[in-house]
Amino acid sequence: MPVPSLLLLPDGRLALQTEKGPEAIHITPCFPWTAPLQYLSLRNSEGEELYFLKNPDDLDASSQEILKAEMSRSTGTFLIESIPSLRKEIELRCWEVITTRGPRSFQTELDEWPRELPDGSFLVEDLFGDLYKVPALKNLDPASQKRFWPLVG
Amino acid sequence: MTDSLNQRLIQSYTSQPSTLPKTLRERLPTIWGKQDVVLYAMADLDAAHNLQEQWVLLGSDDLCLLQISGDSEAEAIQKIPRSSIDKVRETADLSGYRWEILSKDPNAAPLAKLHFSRRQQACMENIRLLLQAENTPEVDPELADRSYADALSEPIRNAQAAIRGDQLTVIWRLLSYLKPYKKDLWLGGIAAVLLTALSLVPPRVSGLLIDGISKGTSSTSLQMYIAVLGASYLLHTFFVWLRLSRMAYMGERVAHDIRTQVYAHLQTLSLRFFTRKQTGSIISRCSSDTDRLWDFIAFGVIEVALSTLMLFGLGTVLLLLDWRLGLLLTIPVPFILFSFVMHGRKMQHIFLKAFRKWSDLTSVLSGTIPGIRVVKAFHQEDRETKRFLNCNDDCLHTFTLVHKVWTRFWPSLTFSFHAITLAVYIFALPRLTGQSEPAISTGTFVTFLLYAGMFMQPLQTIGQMTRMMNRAVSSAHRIFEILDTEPHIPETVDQITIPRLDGKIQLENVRFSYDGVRQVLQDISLELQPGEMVGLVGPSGAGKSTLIQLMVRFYDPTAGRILIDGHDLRELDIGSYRTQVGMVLQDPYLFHGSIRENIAYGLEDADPAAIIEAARAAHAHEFICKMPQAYETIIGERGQTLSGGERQRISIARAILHNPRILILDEATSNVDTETERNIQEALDQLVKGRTVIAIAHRLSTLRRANRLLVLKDGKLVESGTHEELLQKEGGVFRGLYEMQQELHQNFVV
Repeated sequence: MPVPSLLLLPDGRLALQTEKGPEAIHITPCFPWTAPLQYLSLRNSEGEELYFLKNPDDLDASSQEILKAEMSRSTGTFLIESIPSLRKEIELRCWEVITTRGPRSFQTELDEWPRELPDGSFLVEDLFGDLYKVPALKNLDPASQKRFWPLVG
Repeated sequence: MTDSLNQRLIQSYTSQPSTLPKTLRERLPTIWGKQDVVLYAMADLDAAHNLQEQWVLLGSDDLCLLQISGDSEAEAIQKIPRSSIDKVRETADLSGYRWEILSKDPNAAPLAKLHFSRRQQACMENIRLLLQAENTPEVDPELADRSYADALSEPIRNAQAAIRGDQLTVIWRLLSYLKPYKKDLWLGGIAAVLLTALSLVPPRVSGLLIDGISKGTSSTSLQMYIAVLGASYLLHTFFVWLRLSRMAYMGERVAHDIRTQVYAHLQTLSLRFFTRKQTGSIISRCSSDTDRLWDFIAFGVIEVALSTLMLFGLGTVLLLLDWRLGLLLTIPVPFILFSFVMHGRKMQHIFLKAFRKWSDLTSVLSGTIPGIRVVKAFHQEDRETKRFLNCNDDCLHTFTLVHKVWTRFWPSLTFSFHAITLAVYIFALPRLTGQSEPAISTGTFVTFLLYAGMFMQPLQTIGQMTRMMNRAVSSAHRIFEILDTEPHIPETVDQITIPRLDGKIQLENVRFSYDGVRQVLQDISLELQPGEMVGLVGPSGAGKSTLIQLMVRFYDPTAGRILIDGHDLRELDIGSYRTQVGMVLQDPYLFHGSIRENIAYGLEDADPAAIIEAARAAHAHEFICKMPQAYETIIGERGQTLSGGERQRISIARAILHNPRILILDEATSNVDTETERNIQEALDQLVKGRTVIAIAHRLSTLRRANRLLVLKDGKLVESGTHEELLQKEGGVFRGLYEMQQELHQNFVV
């Protein structure tokens, strides 16, 4: 199958140019942390895979731009800048953090440990499934480092 | 779950309003007239994914979007008539959702775009369901607050012990379990106080004895001192025994009472509770948590009380004995206590890391040992060894750090005590030798030193008090959570008991969702006649197993109702109903015990002849008789000593013996070979006679005997008819599945 092109529909949705015409799609990165911009499954609203994009470099320049914008919009998480409070309660670990999106408090289960990502940062998933990226320990302020240290490394 | 608890959880944990802000509510009449708020939610992200407060309000006529500014005033109001909304298009991102509210005019741009985190998804989904419902259900506006609070707090409720309260309340509740054992408590308590008081005697008598010797006191007096010393040791031993035995027995009985109460209450809880709590967590509440409470009740409470008493007692005695030297010992006490607390905190910090490393290590073990065949099959022994080695090294490093901290702390502390003792010597020596006033006798000095030596233990106990209290309160919370959890499936007051069911089953517009978000079943309506055999088919995830779980009332439908012989299932006495329903599952669960006990599970008085008859009908009698102890053979945990087919035939025998009016077969023959399947199928043919039967099977050919087949797809009932009728249906789901299986079978044969 030849490499198709991506386009934006008039309502702003991402679409794949198919033989039948443009079809709205969403992108599922197969490896969102280890290879976020490769191995992308392009799926229609029914969840069927229309195209498997191994490498975005295969796309034309315009499609690459559209893909880049869509990926930055759809794969964003809360980025933690500092951890003013991290305390243990019964069955819960309660976080109060400053993120790039604003201050936020969330909770994780006590045995939910941060997951180390290839770039040295860490991923935390809260009780609701929201994802938070914490920078590598050395990139946090000393007080946050001290609080975060037991949970990683 | 009370509304106030939900609201408190939201306030405590989410830092977002627990209800629609009052100022906003007051402004609503000016925005959309007299409409009630049917549902509301918060879209907490803006287009750039920054946090914001935008309220989404659903009324009877309009959908309203209100942006809140910093001073809680609504700005940027957007009102969308519901009549103009076609549907909501939802896109799930990695950590959040996007909504586009689409107009009925296909050429128009989306009416609104919303962004929100996963935290808001359940509330938003409620709005979406109502917006898109073909027939808008009546929703009581008074339930809007409840719906919002319930959906937002559910994950927190599920994760945390549902009960909340300060430490004192929990400990008070815990101590209420001591009521039946007042006598033991009194005896143990009095013994503890007396032995504390007695432990102050030997140092004083020893001092008097030494002074007596040095002053040449008569041997009778000295013998009397020794006698007092001996008597105090004897009494001390007696009170130690009395205290330990009384408190240990009492603690054990309290733990026993709590365990019994917890286990009995667990049996009343719905499957929903067991779904959201991990099995290990529930087991640990009945076992290690109660054990921890035993330790706290038997020893912790008294230890802490006695240590405090001892510390004050020692301080007073030392000051009375010699206030100058007494001050030398008592002034450092607050500092030492503080150092204990700080050390405890530091250790807790490092222990958290150590615990995590340890859990990494055990997870390697628990992953590879049960899967050792796979490891060997893929020749990954070296890789697994290396993985374990890495975890083991990590553990070593962290525990080295643990040891580094405590091995520095305790010698430092001991040195502090030695330094204090040295200071006592330095200050006391001139007075002992008569160079300074007031003079002090050798006996008094020895007494003083002996008392000083007793200071360490109570200080250590009090220093660890916070940790011990936290552990006990945490265990108590986890236990009380179970005890305070209401059975999720409420019983109605006037329950109907039907001694013998006819077996007619009707489903009316049944909807169901496990999480309140994803609709597993949607508007299912069907009717089964008594004695009819119906096959449920459909692809994986279609909702077949969920449907039968509703029929046995493991869960209640979220909408619609199920009628059994014309009665709403919720009105039937659940115990009486379930005794008339039999289930044969894909992976039958057998308990550790004899084959006889497993067949007669729930029918303890079953006639042995009836057990054998049921086993014969289930084609199980032959293999049972070949077992070493026939029907009395003990099968291991979960029946692991039997083959899959044997386990299945025992479960069929169990169902036959119970003679159910409604029989559910959930993939009863899917995990067995062809020969065994034939045997089981023959057993099932015996079993289904004269009952209403609902059978799920992936092998569609096994449902040929069914009077009717019902085809489910994506939670909807999409086809219904006989095997032949459905095969005739061009492009039908059943026909598609059947052809796929035939093709697979032919390929296999080739």
